[in-house]
Amino acid sequence: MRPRLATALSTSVLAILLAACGGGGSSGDGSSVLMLDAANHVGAGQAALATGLQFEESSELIVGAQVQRQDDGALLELALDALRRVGPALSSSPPLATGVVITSTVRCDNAEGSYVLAVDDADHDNRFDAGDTATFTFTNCVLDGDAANGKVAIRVNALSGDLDGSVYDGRFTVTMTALSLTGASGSYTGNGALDVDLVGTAARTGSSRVATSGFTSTGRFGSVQSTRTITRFTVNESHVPEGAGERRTLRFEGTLSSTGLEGRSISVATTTPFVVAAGSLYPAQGQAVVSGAFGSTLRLTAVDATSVRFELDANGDGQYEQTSTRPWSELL
Amino acid sequence: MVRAAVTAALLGTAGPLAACTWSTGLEAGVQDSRWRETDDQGRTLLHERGTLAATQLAVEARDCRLGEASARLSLAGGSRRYDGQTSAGNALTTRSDVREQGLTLQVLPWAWGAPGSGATVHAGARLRWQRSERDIRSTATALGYPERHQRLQAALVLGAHGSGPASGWHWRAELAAGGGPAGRMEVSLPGYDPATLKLGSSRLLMARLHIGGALAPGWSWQLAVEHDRERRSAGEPTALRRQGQVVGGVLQPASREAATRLVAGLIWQLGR
Repeated sequence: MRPRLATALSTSVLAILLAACGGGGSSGDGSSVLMLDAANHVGAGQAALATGLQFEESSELIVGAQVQRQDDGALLELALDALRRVGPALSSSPPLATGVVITSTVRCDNAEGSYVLAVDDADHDNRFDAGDTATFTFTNCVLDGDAANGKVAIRVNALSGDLDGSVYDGRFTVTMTALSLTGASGSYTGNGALDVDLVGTAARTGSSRVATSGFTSTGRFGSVQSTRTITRFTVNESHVPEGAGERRTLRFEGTLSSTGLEGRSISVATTTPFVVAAGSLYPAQGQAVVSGAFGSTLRLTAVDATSVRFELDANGDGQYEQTSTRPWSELL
Repeated sequence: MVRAAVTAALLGTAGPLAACTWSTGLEAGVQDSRWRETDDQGRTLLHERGTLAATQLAVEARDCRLGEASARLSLAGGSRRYDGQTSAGNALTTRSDVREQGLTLQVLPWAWGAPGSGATVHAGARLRWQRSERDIRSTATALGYPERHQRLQAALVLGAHGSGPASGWHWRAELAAGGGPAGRMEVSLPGYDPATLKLGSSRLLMARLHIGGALAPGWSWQLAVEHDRERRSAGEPTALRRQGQVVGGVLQPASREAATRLVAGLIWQLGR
């Protein structure tokens, strides 16, 4: 997703939802729900925050070692960026009675790999609008250094305005089927459907929402396999101008599970929206509560833009018996 | 009695070190250090170049019954200019601070004269342990981090020494080629749990030429130039974690390192 679309989606949101470590499992007490305790609550808090708050502006590392994050947001970014390729393909094709346009194979960056684009132009108007679906099938398609494989289908539920402009309203369903990105340090694969709403009301002003009933990401890094699932998860984001940048407000809630959580699930809900000032990497305010089995609870509160407070109630008595403060930089 | 035995042992008057001529030397100088990393397509990810201060302490035993043996402790430190990129692919220039420690043990049990030249040729093997510390400095836009790697390497050595080029001078040349198994690298990437990466195997080529001459009884000067080249294949991907949660992977890419040292020093021959 490049500039404008990135802004529209306010990436935080994308990633938020997707970059997750997360999800799945029942919401009640039981063996599928992780009981939060002194030993696991930091990992659980990290997973919850990383699911809800994963920013495009996250710190860049200087290359020495080659790092690859299991960044499910990048999968959604790949899908939405692909949207840009649909319009030109449609407009350059003659109207077809069947309403289906299948492009020839398209080469990717540096002619490495390819993808096939199939567009179902349901209303035969040679425009990519409500009711239409574009399906990309990637084969070792190198984009920004990583090789994409698998399929992503993007259905337009509603679309008005110009996504490259300031005023627009786009609502899409993005369905990934074994969509993967492979780099030098490993690969990760996304499966599931996401509803993505993008709204722009003025320059640098708008909102986005990403919601899923279930999305799973599986990463393989060396001999380690990592599976993360988010279930009934929603992230809402809004942004307004602040100086030369944007001030972002985020809320998220849902269930997440992962191999890092012993394969069990936790639920997270925002109680006070997280607010990220323009130019800042991390929220300076906001609070979320993570719920585990048998009433165990973890409260996560942004102290400022550099640290976050962890408060653990392991026995579910309503008292937070363990408190610690950790830098945001160790969590996101 | 004990003291005599210790002295005898130290000076090699018994066993395979009998009749050895022992010397110790201290050298100091500069090292041109170059480092390059490439991705799996062979494309350059970054390159570094800088001048380090180099120091070496050596103990040598010559004219032993079983040839020659030496132990050399090497230290180097300084910084290199880094020309590379960020994880987002943005070009970036910074500096990396480098410290290297090495210990080389060498045995040259075989020797024969080179007809007509007056030189003696030696052959043997070398074992080298090397530890490197590399701290990539952060910039306003990207975060650097420290790396610590260790490796063990072995090499076959071919050397020669003789007199000249001036009266009272001597020279010595050595060429070594070898390699080593995968080493280990500890890396602390900002925001991630510390990780230990498995490095790729290495190949190396080392050459040394020095000349020297007598200064005073038991003392001599020495001027040496050394050139080392090392090539290491990419390491294995390792899971990257935050607070114990797997969040990605990390790999040390293939690298090439070249070092050229110019060092001068003093040699003290024990017992003279």
